[in-house]
Amino acid sequence: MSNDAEAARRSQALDQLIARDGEIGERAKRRVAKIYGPTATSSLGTYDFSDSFAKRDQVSRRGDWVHRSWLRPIRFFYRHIPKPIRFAIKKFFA
Amino acid sequence: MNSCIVVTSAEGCNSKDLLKTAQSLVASSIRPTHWLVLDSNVKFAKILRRRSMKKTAIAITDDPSNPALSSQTSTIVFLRAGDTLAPTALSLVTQQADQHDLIYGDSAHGRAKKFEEPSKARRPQWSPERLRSHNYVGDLLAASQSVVAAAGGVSMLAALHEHDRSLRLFEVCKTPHRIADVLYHSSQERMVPTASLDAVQRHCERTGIDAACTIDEEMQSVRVKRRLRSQPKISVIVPTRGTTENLKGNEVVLAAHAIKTLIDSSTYQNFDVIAVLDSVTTNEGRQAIIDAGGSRIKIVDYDRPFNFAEKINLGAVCSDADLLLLLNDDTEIITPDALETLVGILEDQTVGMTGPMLLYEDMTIQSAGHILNPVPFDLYREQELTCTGAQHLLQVQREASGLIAACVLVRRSVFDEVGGLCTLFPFNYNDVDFGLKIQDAGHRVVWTPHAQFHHFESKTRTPKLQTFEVATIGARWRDKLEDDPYFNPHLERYIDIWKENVMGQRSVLDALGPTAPIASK
Repeated sequence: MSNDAEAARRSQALDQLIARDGEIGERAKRRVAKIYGPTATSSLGTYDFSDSFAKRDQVSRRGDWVHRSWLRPIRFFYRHIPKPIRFAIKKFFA
Repeated sequence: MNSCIVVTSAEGCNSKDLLKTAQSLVASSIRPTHWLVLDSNVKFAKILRRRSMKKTAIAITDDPSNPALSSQTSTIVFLRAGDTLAPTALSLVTQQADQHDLIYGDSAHGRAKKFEEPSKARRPQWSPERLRSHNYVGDLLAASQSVVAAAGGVSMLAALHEHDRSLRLFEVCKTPHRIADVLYHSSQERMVPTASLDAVQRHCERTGIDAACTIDEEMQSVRVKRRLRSQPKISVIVPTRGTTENLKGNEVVLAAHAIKTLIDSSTYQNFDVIAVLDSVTTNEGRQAIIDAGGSRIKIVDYDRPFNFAEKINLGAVCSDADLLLLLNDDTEIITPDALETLVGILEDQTVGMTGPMLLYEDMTIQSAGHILNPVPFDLYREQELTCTGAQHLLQVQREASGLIAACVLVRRSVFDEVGGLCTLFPFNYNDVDFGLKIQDAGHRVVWTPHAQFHHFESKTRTPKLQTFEVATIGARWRDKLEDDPYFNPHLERYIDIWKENVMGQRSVLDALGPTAPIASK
């Protein structure tokens, strides 16, 4: 095979690979858009690896029972009883 | 909703163990209809007399032929005597039982201490290659009646070693599933999976795998080394710019060194080498590469701006081999039978790509496969080679979501099927995208610790992430990045090790901030 013919064959094979990759890429993009919506990206318009969303997620899932409204008077009472009693209660529950 | 039947083999256990298990069944949010206790020397009466058991509707029996146990709608749950079922376990299992015929999940081990919860063994999704190495699925398995019957029946399965039971059940099931939640509290403090050489050998016989199996007793892992039916030709594709570096005290042309060591050390010799040279390659560098490759070498010139993916694709279209080894120029073979091991893995037609353990020059780990959490990381990077990994995952051959393209063996047909490496990633993440494309096409990606190469990565380039590449990988694979099947949602994200994510706990790694993510190659 001549050099020109070989170069043309390689070029055609590379184009086929790019076309196949493009098909798969488009299909994958459609799947992502279907799951996350058409704006399947961050607020900046592109996906990034910001670590903040994971931490935010953790914080939002944390069971924050300490600050429930019904607990406020109990907390108030607890914090104003004498220190030795408070410590004894704390030690008992620890 | 399905009902559940719990099966416990009580061989060698005492009444205390059985009682512990019984109490957990009583405390379960959904109680099983039957509890089948096999091979028990303990009299049930002692347990049946307890008021808590009397009040429940759980029927305790030691007769596997009891017709009530053969209801087609019930799920069989194998539970070890002494282990306790999590209160929500059966509820979680029955929710999934309609869609999946075999279910396993996470487990807790050891006692809770004053300020600590018990340790938890977090498990990845279905990983058949790993199951051959050790029983990573744990001791609790929930299977449909049809799967249990096809695998040999309740009484036979209950009497088997847990590894044997898991292999038999997974051979016949169609839709295995992992529940990422603690399903049971193990009576054993040991979190490392067990392994049985006999079980794996019998599994290989049943499934027609022609392999030599050996066990590492200390690590409790079985190596399944497949015998090669043929020695297919490999094209080793080495993209390079003829860089010269100091390796082990000698000035060498990296590509020439990689090629020469491969030719000299590898016990697998049916390969040619395609070196894809940048236009900046010096004449000396080119000559050194030609000399190193000898009659095997084929030089392909690449005269466009740097694009790693395009260079690999160019090398691939110049090859006529069935298998392609993508090999960086800054690598060196360590285990002489590395290529045989990798080719052996590809004997399994469901595997599309495989890769070895990569080590730095100082023998620390460079890559043990990728994890996506959601940043793609090389697992256990820069850890000592003696590090076994959580539940010995560095000691066993297993599926991974991706492999570093510095050294991977891929089927030519799969390479063409997925369109090669994506040229939209000229620097980074082309290998992450490649691995995900291969899995999307239905092939498995397998990493093995039994083949090792050096990768002198830091000697050639500094990782630098490109925003457009991150955006493109996210646009294509965001769902996969955020839910890697070979990871577990309860593990710490943004780090390259397998570590339980404990709320509020701050590790040294957290304090230091996220580890620099990989830039592939």
